[in-house]
Amino acid sequence: MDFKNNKTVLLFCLVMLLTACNNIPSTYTESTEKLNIYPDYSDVFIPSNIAPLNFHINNDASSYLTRIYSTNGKSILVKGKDVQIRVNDWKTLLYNNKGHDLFFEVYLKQGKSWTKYPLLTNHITSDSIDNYTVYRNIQPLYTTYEDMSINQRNLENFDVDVLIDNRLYSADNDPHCINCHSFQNYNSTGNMQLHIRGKNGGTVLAFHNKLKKINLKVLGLKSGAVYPAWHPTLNYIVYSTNSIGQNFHSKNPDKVEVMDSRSDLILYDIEKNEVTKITDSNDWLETFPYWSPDGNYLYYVAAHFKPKQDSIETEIQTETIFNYENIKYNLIRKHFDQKTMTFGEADTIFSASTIGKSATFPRVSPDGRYLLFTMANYGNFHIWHKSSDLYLMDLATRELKNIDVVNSPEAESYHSWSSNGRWIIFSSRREDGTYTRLYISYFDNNGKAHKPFVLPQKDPLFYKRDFKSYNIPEFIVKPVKTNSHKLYRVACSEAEVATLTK
Amino acid sequence: MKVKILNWSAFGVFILFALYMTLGQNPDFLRKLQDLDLFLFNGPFFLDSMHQVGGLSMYLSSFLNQFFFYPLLGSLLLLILLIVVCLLTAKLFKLKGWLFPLAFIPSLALLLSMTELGYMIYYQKVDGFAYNNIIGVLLAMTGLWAFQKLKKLPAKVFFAISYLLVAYPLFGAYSLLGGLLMLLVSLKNYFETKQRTALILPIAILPSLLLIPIFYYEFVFEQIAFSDIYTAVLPNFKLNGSEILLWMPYLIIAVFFIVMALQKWNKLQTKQPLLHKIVPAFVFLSCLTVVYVFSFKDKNFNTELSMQAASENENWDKVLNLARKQQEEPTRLIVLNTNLALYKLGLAGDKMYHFKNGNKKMKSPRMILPIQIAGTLFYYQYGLTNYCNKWCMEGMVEYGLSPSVLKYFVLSSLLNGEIKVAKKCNDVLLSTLFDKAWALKYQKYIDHPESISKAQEFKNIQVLNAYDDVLDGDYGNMEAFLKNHFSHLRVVPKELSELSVLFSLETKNIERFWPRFFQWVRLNPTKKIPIHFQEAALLYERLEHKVDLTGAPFDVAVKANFSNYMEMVQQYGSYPEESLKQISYNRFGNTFWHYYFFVKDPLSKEKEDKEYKN
Repeated sequence: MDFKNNKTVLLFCLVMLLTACNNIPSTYTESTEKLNIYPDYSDVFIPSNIAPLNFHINNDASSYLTRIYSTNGKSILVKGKDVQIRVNDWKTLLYNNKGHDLFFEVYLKQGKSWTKYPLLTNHITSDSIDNYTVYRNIQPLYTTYEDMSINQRNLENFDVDVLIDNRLYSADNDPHCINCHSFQNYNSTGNMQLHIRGKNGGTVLAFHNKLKKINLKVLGLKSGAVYPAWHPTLNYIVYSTNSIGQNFHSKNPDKVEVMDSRSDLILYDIEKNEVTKITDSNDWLETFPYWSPDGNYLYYVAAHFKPKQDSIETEIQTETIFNYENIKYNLIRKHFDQKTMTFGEADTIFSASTIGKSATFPRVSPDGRYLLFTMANYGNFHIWHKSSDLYLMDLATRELKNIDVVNSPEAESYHSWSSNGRWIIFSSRREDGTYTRLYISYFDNNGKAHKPFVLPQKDPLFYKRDFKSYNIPEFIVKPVKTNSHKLYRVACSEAEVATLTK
Repeated sequence: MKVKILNWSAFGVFILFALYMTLGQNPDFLRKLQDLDLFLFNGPFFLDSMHQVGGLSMYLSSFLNQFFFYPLLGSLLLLILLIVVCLLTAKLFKLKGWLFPLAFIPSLALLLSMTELGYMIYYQKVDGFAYNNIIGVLLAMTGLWAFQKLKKLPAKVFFAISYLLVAYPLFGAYSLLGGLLMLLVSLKNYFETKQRTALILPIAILPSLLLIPIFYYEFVFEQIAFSDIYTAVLPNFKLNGSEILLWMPYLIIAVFFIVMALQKWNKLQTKQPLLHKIVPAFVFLSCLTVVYVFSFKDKNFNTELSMQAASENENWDKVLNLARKQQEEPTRLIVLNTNLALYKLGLAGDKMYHFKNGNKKMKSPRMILPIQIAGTLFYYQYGLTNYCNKWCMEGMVEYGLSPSVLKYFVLSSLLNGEIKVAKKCNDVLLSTLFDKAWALKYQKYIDHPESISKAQEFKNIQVLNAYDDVLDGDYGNMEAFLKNHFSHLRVVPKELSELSVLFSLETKNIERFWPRFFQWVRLNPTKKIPIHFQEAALLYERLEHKVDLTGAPFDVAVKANFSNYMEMVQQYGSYPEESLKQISYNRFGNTFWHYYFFVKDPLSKEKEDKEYKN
């Protein structure tokens, strides 16, 4: 027997066997039944640089074969119930097929025969998405808090960097809350801030490549600084100052109400370390500031609420609780003169209260044309309101545009525009009503929003097993340069106390 | 021959003692250990564990801990591991012959580290904490054993550093114990040989002990505070107050190993042969005594655990049997559980004051509230599913997933119509070894939500959901919240009529009592008015004279008893309060009247505030 020939034959058989396993079945029946996959990655518009849309096939079969293809280039074949696509293959496919449809062709072997399911079709847009998003990873907590982190996710793959984890900062019996990460102009300047709450807390600021800690609990203010908004070009941050309370529903499915009993707006001058009041009224609750992309307008929300007893804090809080359904916020903006550094009068952009609603989180698109906001039946902390949805206003006409396609029966809340204005990332509890996930929706240049898709994960079943929520998603164009230990060291340092100017 | 008898006796004593201290003392405690910790046999769970310092130790510990689901099985497994520790100790430190009883010291200390816990089990955040110590000690000894087997110096240096580099991320503080033992043995060798080359090992090991944890902290792990890097995987006991005693077993282990590493048994054997024979046995017996004395023993704690276990199976008769056996003053949790059982059996109105009442402080070194222990159970059983859900989440946030919170999360979510969340939690339980059966039982409700309203077990709870929504909070004070919730209902639905009267009795609020009492009477025209309701009505009528009870269908015996009570009050009214209280208790301790006059509200405003702040 010729051993060399036998080796060749064996090798040939092996190759045939392998390729046979990876070949599309030549005979199959066509099913009209829609394939049941999780997450739902069908009929969505995706960026050309998004990470692979790995998914799980819920239908039962003995074998699974998925072919992913588009107009150009090689198709990708994946075996198994979990369709996990190699990042490089995926990137190549998307790069070569911008503007084309993307197809998932799935075959299931049940018994001895294969069944081909209807094609799942998505569309690869020519518009890319910002490379990163930063969010807080936290359990949907009520009063206690334990482990949470602010993470930076590379949207082109599955890499996650932990910017800061509160367990670095917290001894076991002294947990700290980290929140309100915020960037100037999509982190293009490298300037960012976040708060650390708890013993020796403060605000950590990354400014001109230096880290510092500041104390914004300034004497003369009703409370410390809370929700931030960086001016896109100037070295200012507007904050709201909020006296926040939290109460629980004994029966209402919304479960939690987070309410302000007092809130105002302040302007923080980073270079001078000075705070100036923008609003200071006991009759109005002003919060959630946000600058227009050109820096000429400050948007925020305001609700009229005049407590009967405006000097006793506990009484005000009690009144807030009794009136929680009546506190409704409108969308306001003030013109900002960048030369004189002064604000104009308040201009009501949208009176949500007149239609029995309450608006929050105003976000102007990068081209200045649209205003995206969240609206629910009352209040401002809408992640706890199932009635909360996203709304879009055309700022030129002040008309609301229908973006029902992005909404669901569960809460939709915090949202951000990508730097090119083509993508919206937002938090939603549509999956199960409790755990917040991040969804991405395409916003085309005709002003139309498209069906959103959940932030892809390497493990398709990741969200099923994950007991943490994702909140405050912010797009950034370049990664954060610091690391958790540097941030931690600054967080442990003494804070510079800001001063209040008149 | 004598020494063999001694050693086998020591073995026998140890086995019986260990089983007595675990299984014999309180099997419900062992079950609770399992209930508070989760183990899943899947990749993501393993990977999540590995993200923490000491992750492998916690993973293995959680794996072993789950067997406490069957207390006998768990106890036997624990015993086997303790014996392994003993045998390894004997082998490693050459504790043979008369010295063998000393080998039990680490095992006894490890046993104490579990039996001393008591209420501290509710504060432990390290996964599988009951077994972390055992695994850690085994690792340290195995490391030392391997280190001693190596003869060549370069091999020893390489091994010591590699051991710390590999073991620290996987086993945390116990890897440092192993490293410390290697250091001590190396130092001992240096002092014995006086060779300069013998210094190389200590010079290599000491900085490694200090720097390797820092290296991992700086470059690898994001989830640990710097203050914890040398104590990772150790329990979170404080170093002051009464908790300092909880460190005793750890101190014993550390001292034991240090002494063993530096000892010279052959000198003791030759110079003091009598001591060599007697001391080990004496030390062994002393350690047994120490373990027994310092183990946590509290009848109320045991009763609470047993009641909770019975309540979770809705075995209300068992709860009352336990309550009947109560000798000493009960904790609030025992009282609450007793009242819950009475209500569920329809006996509260007649028997609520027949059981011991009290407010004995929980014997915990750290302040602990009933809501932390059993908030989910009580809120669920009283139909407050949102609050049950809330405390499940609080538990998950602070202590991680456990069968205990997952089950109540499933139950409360099912009743709230949150089927997807119920499924999410139930899927986790389906992946466990021992809670899978429970999960399978409730999976059918997830698959067919329409069957929830038809199931009797849910009907009993759903019926209590008939209240209007209120926006408020419990501020960590479950008892006060329940009292206020039921006695302050603005509109009392018929389903909650009995509870609203019962809690009005508890609050001693006369104004709230009357409308609720009359509503109950209207809704139950053919039922006998519960005895305590009659007692309250008679008393309140006597105190205020606002309601005419003429013709009320009260028991003759109750009325007669009330007359007797009034006579007693008149007769002994001038006595000091404590004396009158005792007289009242002796004759009328099982009545509402005694409760009204002499049982103080355990939850005064000041105490509520203090407890909440803590």
